[in-house]
Amino acid sequence: MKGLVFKEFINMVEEKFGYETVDEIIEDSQLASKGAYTSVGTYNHEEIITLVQSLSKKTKIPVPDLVKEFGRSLMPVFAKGFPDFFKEPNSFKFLGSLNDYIHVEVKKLYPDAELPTFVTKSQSEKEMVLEYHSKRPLADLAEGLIEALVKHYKEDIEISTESPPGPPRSRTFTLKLK
Amino acid sequence: MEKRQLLLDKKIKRLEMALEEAESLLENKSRELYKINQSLEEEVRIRTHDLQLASDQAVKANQAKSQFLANMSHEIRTPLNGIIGFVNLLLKTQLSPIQKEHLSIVQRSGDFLLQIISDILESSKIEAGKFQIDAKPFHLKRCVENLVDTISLQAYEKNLQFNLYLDEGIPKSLMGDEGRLRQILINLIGNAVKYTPTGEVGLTVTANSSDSRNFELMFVVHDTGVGIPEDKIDSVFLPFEQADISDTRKYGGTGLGLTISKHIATAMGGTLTVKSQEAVGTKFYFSLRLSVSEHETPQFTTRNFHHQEAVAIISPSLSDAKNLADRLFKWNTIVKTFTSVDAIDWLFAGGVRRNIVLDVDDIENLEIQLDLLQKIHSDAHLILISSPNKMTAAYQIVGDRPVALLRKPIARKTLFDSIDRKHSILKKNLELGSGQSSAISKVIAIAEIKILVVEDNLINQQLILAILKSLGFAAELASDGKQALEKISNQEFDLIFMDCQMPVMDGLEATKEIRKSNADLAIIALTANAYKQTKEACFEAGMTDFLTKPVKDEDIAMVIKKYARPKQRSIA
Repeated sequence: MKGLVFKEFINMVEEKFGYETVDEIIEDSQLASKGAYTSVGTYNHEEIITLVQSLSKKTKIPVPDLVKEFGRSLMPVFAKGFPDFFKEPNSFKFLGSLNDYIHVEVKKLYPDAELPTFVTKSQSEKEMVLEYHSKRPLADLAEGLIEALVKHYKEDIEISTESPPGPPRSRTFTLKLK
Repeated sequence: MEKRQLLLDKKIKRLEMALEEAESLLENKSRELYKINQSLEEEVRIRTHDLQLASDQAVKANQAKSQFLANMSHEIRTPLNGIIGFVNLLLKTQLSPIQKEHLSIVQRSGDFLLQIISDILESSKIEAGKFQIDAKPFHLKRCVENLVDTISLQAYEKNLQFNLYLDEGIPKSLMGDEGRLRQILINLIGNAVKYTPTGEVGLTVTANSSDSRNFELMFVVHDTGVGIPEDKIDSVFLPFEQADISDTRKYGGTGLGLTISKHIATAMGGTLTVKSQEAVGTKFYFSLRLSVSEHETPQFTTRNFHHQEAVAIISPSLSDAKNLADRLFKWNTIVKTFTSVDAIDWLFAGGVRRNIVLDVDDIENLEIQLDLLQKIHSDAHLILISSPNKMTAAYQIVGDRPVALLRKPIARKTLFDSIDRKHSILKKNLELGSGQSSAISKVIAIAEIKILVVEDNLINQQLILAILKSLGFAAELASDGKQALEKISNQEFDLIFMDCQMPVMDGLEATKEIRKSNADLAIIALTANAYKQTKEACFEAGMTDFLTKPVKDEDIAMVIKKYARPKQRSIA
């Protein structure tokens, strides 16, 4: 997983709970990277899962809520760092171009990046149905990101989700324009 | 406090580690980029090399094509010049009118074929950027009439009418490239005839001047042919674009004519444009600015007959009659047109000479009609006009009658002379290619003149020997430059005709050799073309003058007269 994500996670934890908590969860987790993350590096995605679990244990906030919140705080970082990908006029267009354009370009920038897939199941002017699939159980991260995306575009959209049982590797998002 | 410090230290430590990692990643990335850059440069180098090779090959292939075309046209021209040359000689022998007529068609066809070959050679020259305009004083009206005299035959053969209108305001001598002008007009008229199944084809030349020295000439070639579809009209001047691909088979031709014409027109500072309507006809407009040649003052002398002439024109074709009438009006004659022989009813005051111009093309029972005319209008001078393809038949009917028989299209001078009765009976007009023998007969064969002909082609050898023989000269032969040098070392010559392209030793090299020991000997180059470079190369090598193939007897006669200076020789 890209270092940018780890760095932002650490930033979020520091901002919300202080560096003491950051230090504690790093020490708890016994990471290969020793918690020294650079945005240009690449790290095992297991590390972020371990860190989140550790944080959850410490803060008593459920893992999904933490991951979702992390997704929400990650979106503005993406929007600032990659403005070219945010030229689409609205969320539907953005999400529609994710697989075929944005992720293709991301692959060019980071050939070792492993990206989830977003499949548009149906789309009309008012409604979009999107399926998330990943090797990693990060559907909540996707949900937080999508919520923040809608906010970024200042749109009034209702998001409902449907998940199969088991680890959150897939999720169906239904976005309804109000 | 201590705890905070510890935490801060740990944070700094982690940041340092991250920085270190980032730097190492950056370094690796830079090396990777450097390697990619290296391989890209190598790839660019390889591709540039490949492109260069492909480009070189294309240039070479194009050069080879041009060279091939030049060689081919040279190879074709050599035997063709033989054909044309011998036909010209044959035309000067005793022949029946039919034989003459047929032979003149062979002559024209040969000339036409030569034109096609020249077209191909010309376009390869245009492509190579070797193209020149050579302006000299020339007689525009004579040039156009001579040209029309030849090319209109194609129209008459298709039973088309041919109309020529020349503005009386065209000055006699203008500065321009006569050859190039002819080339354009031949092409435009040739096309008009080719694409016109019925009706007429014509050329109108008008002149406008603001200061009496510079003239804006407008040549309009019109036809009543198939026309050009609207969507094809823009591409007619592009190479190998005939309006329809199937045209190439239907109408023949190289598809280069209009491209070359447009190019020449532009090079002369003129314009060439077209207007057309499908199934109605086409008009090509060629405009050109020419100035009066410096040696000449513009002349607008109108012809005047020695007597007051009255002319009755009998022609079923209204446009033909009108054309003739217009011309005659300008010469201050009394003109009346009729559509048939029976219709003639005219009474004129005394002192007027009467002429009847009869168009015999569509007249039935010509013999009876002639008898009738001669009986009723015995005092009238009878001038018959006929299409070239009907001349032989008309000639047979005319027999010994004291009438003039003129071939269409009627040149102004011929018509004028005929009415003016410069020749009592104008049967002479039948002699096709007339007016060629005068220069020749004036050459007095000086048996003492020693001529050497250096020429590798057997047919060309035969041709030039035959021409020399007809002029009363014998000549020695050499097949290449080396043989020529041997001959010259053994005997004296007064004049050498030297081919330029020959095996073993070419004409230029041989001339340079001769000039080392003999500065005075007249050496006349025989060249396949009249291009500037060729001329310059000839003079540079030391040639006295040059002739362009196919050589004509009057040229040979002129050259001998001009340069041959027989020396006093002691008899061995």
